[in-house]
Amino acid sequence: MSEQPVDVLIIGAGASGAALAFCLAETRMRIVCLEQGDWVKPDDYPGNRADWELRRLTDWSFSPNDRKRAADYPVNDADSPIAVSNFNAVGGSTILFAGHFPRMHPSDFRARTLDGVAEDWPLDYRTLAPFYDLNERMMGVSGLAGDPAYPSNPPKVPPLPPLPLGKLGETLARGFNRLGWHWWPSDSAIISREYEGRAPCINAGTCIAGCAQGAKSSTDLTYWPLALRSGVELRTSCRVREITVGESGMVDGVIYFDADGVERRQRGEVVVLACNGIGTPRLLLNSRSKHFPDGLANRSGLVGRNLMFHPYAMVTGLFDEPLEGYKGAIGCCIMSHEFYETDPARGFARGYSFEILRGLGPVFTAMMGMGWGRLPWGTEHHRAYAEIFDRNAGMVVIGEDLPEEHNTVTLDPELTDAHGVPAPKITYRLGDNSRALMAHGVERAQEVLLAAGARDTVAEPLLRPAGWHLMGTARMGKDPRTSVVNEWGRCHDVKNLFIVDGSVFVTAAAVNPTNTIQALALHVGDRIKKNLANLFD
Amino acid sequence: MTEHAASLPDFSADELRTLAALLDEIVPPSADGRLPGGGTLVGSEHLEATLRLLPGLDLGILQAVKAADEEARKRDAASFAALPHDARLALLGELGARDPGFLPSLTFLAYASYYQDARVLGALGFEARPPHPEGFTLDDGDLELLAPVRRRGKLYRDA
Repeated sequence: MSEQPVDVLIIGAGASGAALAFCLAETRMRIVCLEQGDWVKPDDYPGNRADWELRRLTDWSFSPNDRKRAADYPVNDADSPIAVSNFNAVGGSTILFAGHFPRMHPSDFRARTLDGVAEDWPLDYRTLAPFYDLNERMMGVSGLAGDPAYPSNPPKVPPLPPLPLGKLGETLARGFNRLGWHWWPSDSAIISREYEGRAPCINAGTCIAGCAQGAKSSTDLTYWPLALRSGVELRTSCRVREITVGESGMVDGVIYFDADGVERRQRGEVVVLACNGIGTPRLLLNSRSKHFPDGLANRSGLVGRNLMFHPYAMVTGLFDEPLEGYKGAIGCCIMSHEFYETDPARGFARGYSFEILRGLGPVFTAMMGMGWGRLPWGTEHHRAYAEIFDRNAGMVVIGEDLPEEHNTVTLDPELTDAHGVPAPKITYRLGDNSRALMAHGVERAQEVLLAAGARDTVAEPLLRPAGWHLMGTARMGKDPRTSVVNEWGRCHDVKNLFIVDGSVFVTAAAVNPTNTIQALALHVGDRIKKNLANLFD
Repeated sequence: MTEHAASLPDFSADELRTLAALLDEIVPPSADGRLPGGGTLVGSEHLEATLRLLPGLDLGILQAVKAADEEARKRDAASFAALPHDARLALLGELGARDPGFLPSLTFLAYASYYQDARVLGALGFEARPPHPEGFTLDDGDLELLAPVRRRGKLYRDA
């Protein structure tokens, strides 16, 4: 069945698809977005129920392989020390993200020039700065201006005051001060005050199982209501099987399965991929044609290559005093960029950031205590539990991964989704630079926790279920031989095909990528609007 | 055990008694009596919800129960529940050494269920309610602590 052609067809309603839909809505073009998931109702979030912690391991798990919802597709990540995390719904992975929402640094766009590694981006911080500003206003970001880790010109001024530090945040801040290290309240995509009709954060602490309060700025609450009011059409439970190519070599639409599993065709003048760093290369590789026998827009051979995660280490401090750690936004307390910029004396290029987490709820205290070997069963159980419950503070080391061509997303020869579409296969190795960087970070994290008063620390040097940030698999650049899209997201090989998700990242930086992904989407949308008359030249 | 125990359909009444005895060894009642033993979870909504949410865990637990009873019978006891405490501990150690999944399954079930229980949370001084819609209050904290950070000046590199 063929439907009426539209001007712009966006695939994916997550962080970037929502921002782009909003950005283009004012053009009055006919815009349709196809999303394989559905809307999440506030009542469905586990934070409304006593078993909410346990459900983080089951139907609200980060892992699509554990969750197994109808909207999910499986990911073969057996050949990777880091497992893929995502969520498929209107809002995409912003439904389950922690909301830690930093910008990249200016130096992140110039890794080759400054440090001799990876590649430079084809744009810079100053170009993205106005789109960061817009995105932070649209999403509703809480934070504090004046952070010396960022340029003061142009200034970075979050629209809302920071989330509470709480006792835990103050305790860790004192530890950083004792060492003379940088720290700052997190930039948080969680509203600290009433904002745009949304109620503020109530410190429920359920962020990564979804926010029933609606204070976390998932795009189903921020961009989508505005885009829909402006005339964008959003079709949910629609999974795209492939992007089709016309005789001219330009894309002319997609084939997708609707909510009833019926195969449909939707034509579009422009197609935009917003499916994340795994879903986008998967769809391109599943879209083979006589023009593109190796996958759509893949004449460079780079679609699916240079996969970057952020390797995460977690270090937990055990304290003697209660810290009220189960209260508050789990990933939005304070952060540190003390070791962000390259220092050759450290023996590795680039750097890492620290994100201070809140503590753990009662069930996860028991689960983590078991995992740490600190919570025996039997007669010593209650004593051991009392020593760790509400007396722990976690921090993560978020390392900058470098792009390496052997880290890939390919198509699994056997595994498919519920519609029979080949599933992605991840092949990934942690590079030597990343290993050195993470080892340094774990040692420094232990130092700061002890300086903050911890009596002991527990380190997990590489978290497996931490593949939240999916980057690099269709990177941007000026040279079609070494990149997939140009500096405004247009595929070198197909001039009416755009990519706006984390696939286009040239380097990973050492911060959570969502703010940058959305700023890039707004930048791409802005360039599309400015070039409408000659978009395909 | 409560009347709800019958809704664990694959467990006989004897097996439920054994399960309760096993969970009492994993999480014993506290010496001061404030915290109940894990055995009181049998029949509770939390234990059943844990088993329901994690497909396959029930089979692992049932196997653990059967293994414990079988070993107990080899020691001339009617069941694991009929053994004295020291004998139970010895048997758990043996089974744990023989099957690496035996104790983790039981421990996971016990911990995941126990720390949702209102009696337990109340005894720990934790409000036994979902986090939403009440949430929690949290101090803003002292942002004057940033003074030394501000004094250090620029950390980023120009590019």
